[in-house]
Amino acid sequence: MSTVSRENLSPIHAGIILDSIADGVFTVDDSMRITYFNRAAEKITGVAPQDAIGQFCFEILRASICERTCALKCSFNTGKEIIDKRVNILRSDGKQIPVSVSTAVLKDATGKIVGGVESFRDLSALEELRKEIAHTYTFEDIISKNHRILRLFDILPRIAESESSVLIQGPSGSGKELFARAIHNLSLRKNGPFIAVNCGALPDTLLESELFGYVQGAFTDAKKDKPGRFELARGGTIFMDEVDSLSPATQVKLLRALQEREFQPLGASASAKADVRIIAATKEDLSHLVENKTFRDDLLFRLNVVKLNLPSLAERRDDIPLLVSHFVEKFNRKMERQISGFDDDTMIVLMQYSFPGNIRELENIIEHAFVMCREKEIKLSHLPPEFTQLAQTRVEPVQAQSPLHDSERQTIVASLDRHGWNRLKTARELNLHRTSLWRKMKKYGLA
Amino acid sequence: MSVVAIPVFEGRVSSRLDCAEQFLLVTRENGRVCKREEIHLLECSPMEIVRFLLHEEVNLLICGGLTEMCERLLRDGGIQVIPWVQGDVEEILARFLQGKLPDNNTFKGKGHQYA
Repeated sequence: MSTVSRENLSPIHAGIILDSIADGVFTVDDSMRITYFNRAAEKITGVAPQDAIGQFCFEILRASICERTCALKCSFNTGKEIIDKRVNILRSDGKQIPVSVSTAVLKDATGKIVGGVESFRDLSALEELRKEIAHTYTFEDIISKNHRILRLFDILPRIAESESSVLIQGPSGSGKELFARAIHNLSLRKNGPFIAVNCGALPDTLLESELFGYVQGAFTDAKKDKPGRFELARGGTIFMDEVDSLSPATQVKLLRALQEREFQPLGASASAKADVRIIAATKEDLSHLVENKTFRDDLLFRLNVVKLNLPSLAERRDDIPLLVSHFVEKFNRKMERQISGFDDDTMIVLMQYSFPGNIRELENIIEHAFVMCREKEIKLSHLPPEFTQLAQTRVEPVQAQSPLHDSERQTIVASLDRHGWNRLKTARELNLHRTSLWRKMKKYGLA
Repeated sequence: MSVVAIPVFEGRVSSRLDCAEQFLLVTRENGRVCKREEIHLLECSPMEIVRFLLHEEVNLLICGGLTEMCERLLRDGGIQVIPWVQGDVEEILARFLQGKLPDNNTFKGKGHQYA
């Protein structure tokens, strides 16, 4: 048997080796046109080698540094390698992928530079982990194609740019904090801190000192000054979740911070400036609490300058397939698995579930399924036990408003299920205009 | 009167709008080009780039790669976009002025090579 050594490595062997590694690798000539593009490069960029070869590398990779500080050009100019430079590339579907790039020059036998080689590693999994730890979510992390969420996307940049207080109302697990972080990261305060406080998680006596801080000697155990969340959020944003649970006394202090832009730490003789933007969140309708006299109307007016109403997952059912793909991708990366998704029957059961815990519950269900599943595809038996029951009740006839009404609804749901809730494909199959389909979906509570 | 903007890099349409530093602004009146301007922006954020385009009262943007956020910001600002275009800027502009550039996003997914 002949052996392959560095000296007798043929181009075929080199190609096989380069195609077998997980990092994207491409080479360019001295005019920056791609001469080789391996399989991992295709997987990461979504561009096939035959489409990439011959093109300018900056038009295929679309890295954030291509037009400013191209790593390959730096290597050409200095003759030195660049190792693990962190950038992001823009895939042809509009998604940005974090990568680390390394570059080196290619020389001929005489030492003349004839081109360069660049390798790049997909850092998506690492980046996701980092985001989970550091909570640096942007509004591109919000997964949706639902019309109500898309409308929010349209106004989000303008909301972020303003300094106004924002009130986010939505049920538990609907993504209130994600929206708040996205607003902060899109605002002029993005380099300042984002401080989150759950007003419902602390007893009122503690909450006041937690929000506004205290000075030494304010009470028996106050051995030294302690800054509150308002102070910690200086120059940034404070996110107050479950603001509906504030006591009347704390409501007054919060109102002052909003009105006068200053607050007084416990035991302090002077006020401190409140250089923060407030984003409040609630799952209750605050106007009802005002009617019941448990929430101050003047505080509501101050908080409710801009209001975002987040729908429950049941109200944005068309997002379920998209969210399922997102979480499957996430857990595949996190758990190093290769699950392709859910089988059709299980997906139908998921689509009909009411999700009282919203997106958080969907994520938990998928995590549970990942733990239970040892196959390529998630089946009903991998879901929590209550879903088996749900699948059994699903086949029982439901009391319909009228047979026609029920049959039209069922036809639409079946077609939506077949097409992964893609409205365009469903409308085509049912020979309906998109708008008519949407109207019918709305009528049957499916939109 | 309408203003067309193209982000430029080394004579070609810049491969991504959010990183572009040079823009060609072309003003048209009665179908004829009456003004051409090259503008350099240095290290602007995507939001600043969109703000610049809105400030220049751009009606149409012909560009390369577009992030979802930029797409939303432009749509929100009422700027019509022909994205994912690749090629020589002058050739692209000539094609557009001759009405030979498709006016919708038909090439998303692969990029559309012109020259």
